Formats: sequence, structure tokens, C-alpha cells
Amino acid sequence: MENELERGFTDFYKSNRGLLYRILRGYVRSNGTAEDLVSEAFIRVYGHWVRVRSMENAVGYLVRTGVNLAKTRLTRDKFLGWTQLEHVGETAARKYTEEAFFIGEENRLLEEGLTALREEERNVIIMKDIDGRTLEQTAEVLGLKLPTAKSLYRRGKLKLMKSLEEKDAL
Amino acid sequence: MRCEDVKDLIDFALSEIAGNKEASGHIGSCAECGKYYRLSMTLSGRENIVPVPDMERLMDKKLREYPAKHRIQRIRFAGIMGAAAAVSFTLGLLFNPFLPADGPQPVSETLAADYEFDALESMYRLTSVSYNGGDSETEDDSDETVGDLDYYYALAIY
Repeated sequence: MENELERGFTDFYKSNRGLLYRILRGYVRSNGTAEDLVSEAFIRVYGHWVRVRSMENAVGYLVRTGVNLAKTRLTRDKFLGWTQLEHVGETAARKYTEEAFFIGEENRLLEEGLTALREEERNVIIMKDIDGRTLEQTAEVLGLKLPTAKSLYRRGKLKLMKSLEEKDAL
Repeated sequence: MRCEDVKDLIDFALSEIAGNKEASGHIGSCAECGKYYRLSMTLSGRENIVPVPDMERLMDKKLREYPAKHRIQRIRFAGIMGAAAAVSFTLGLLFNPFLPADGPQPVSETLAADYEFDALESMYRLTSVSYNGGDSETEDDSDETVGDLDYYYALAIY
């Protein structure tokens, strides 16, 4: 029984870690922090695994847990940045030095544009295009209605296109 | 073909665009749809996407630490709640809001010397009178007329 639970959790981890990593990377600006948050979110889910595995939308639960952790971390960092002013410059310099979603210098503007989108639009684009899920799966995981997900997806891409056009990068 | 239809096709059937002459023709002639198509190709191009880092080691480490960390969290929570209870209790003793402002009054010497005086009985009578609306003329508040229940009620209040 315990082995079965462990195996179930391992499969769940393997099939969703990439998705969670990319979604959380959209919130935090550091690959290391995103990795830390991903493992933290999985640990939280592991603590309630018996209940979570029978959920209809276990991936959605995982994503919400991760997003809440990321937002808490951002708030904490903001407060720490406010109290420890010497780290502000360091954090700002770290902003765009790591590749988050796309390889290569030529995609840097695309990455910046994607990071600057509204979180709902960014999450839909990450799940649909980068993680390769269908829009139906995306809507289900994010707890959206399908037309809403479609509209967020289209609007996000148009915004992204506009931002790249303005920088003459398309 | 309208721009909206082409964008729908790009969004939901990107791989079929190449085989669709009408859509390809539209993308070639419409600047906006062309840009939208290029953006979609870049976004979903597998070769562009950063691979997910290997987090196995970090995850294993955290899973190993999980029971101890969980236990420490529970102990910490119990400690915080215990300390809060102790502080509340001490503050309650020091600043008891139910005592009169000038502190408990000493029993008068006359009363202290009266061996017949029964504080419980006195309180019982007082409560019975208040309970009957203070109308002691119409109600007989002697022991004989007040039942056991009233007695214990007064006792509980006392």
C-alpha cells in the first residue's frame, strides 16, 4: 500500500514537475528560487498525498499550492529588500541574466515580454505552448472555463506580439 | 479567409497550416497574421525551449528532511501556543478585570467577629432576591420556599 502511494507520487512528480517549474519561473526571477519552490510545493502535496491523489484536479491543486508559495516568497523578498537595501541592486541585476523559457540571446525579448504579461495570460501560454498541453487541459488545471482560457491565450499572444513589434523584434 | 479564422487555425492547428494553401497564402500576404504565425512557431518550437533542470537531488533531500521538519514545526507551534497561554494567564492574574478597581475589600471587623455569619448563605439570599426582581415583599425568599434547584443555581453563581 505504502509502495503504491510512493509510486503514485513519483509518477505525479515526474509528469508535472516541468509544468510547475515553468509556471513558477514566470513568477520568480531566479531559476534557483523556482527549483526550490517546486520542491517545496511537491513536499506540501506529499504531506496530503492520500487526499490529493483522489482529487479530480490534483494538478490544479499542485499549481495553486506552488503559486501561493511563490507569491508568499515574493512578498517576503519585497519586505526583505525593503529592510536590507544593499541587496536591492543585486536582485535587480539578477533579473534578466538567466534563461527562463527560451534558449539564446535572440529570444531574450520574447522572454521579457512573456514575463511581463498578466499572470493568467502567461500561465495559459506557458501551459499551452511551452509545456505542450491542450487548451482543454490548461483550462481544467487552472480552473478556468474553456472560452476564458481561449480568450486569455489569444489576448496574451497579441500583447506579446505588440511588445515585440514595438522593439522591432518580430 | 478572414484574419480571425487564420489565427484560430494557428492557435489550435499549427501543424496543419503548412498543408493548407489558403491559410498559407493569407499568412504570406497579411503582415499581422504573418507575425502572429512566426510568434506562435517560436513559442511552441521545441528546440527553443529551456529544458527543465534536474531537481531529483533537491527533492530527495527535502523528502528526507520532511519528517524532522514537520515534527519541529509541530513542536514550535505547541511552544508558541503554550507561551501565549502562559502569558495570558499571568496577565489575567496581574490585571484581573473582574476585581474592583481598588482591589478586594477586607471583611469588616464586626462581620469577622460574627461566628453566625455564613457568607454562602448571604450570597444565596442576595441572589434569590435579585432573581425575583428585588421584590422581597411579595416573594418569600426564605429557605422553605426556594427549592433545591434555586439553591444550586445560587451556589453556581457564587
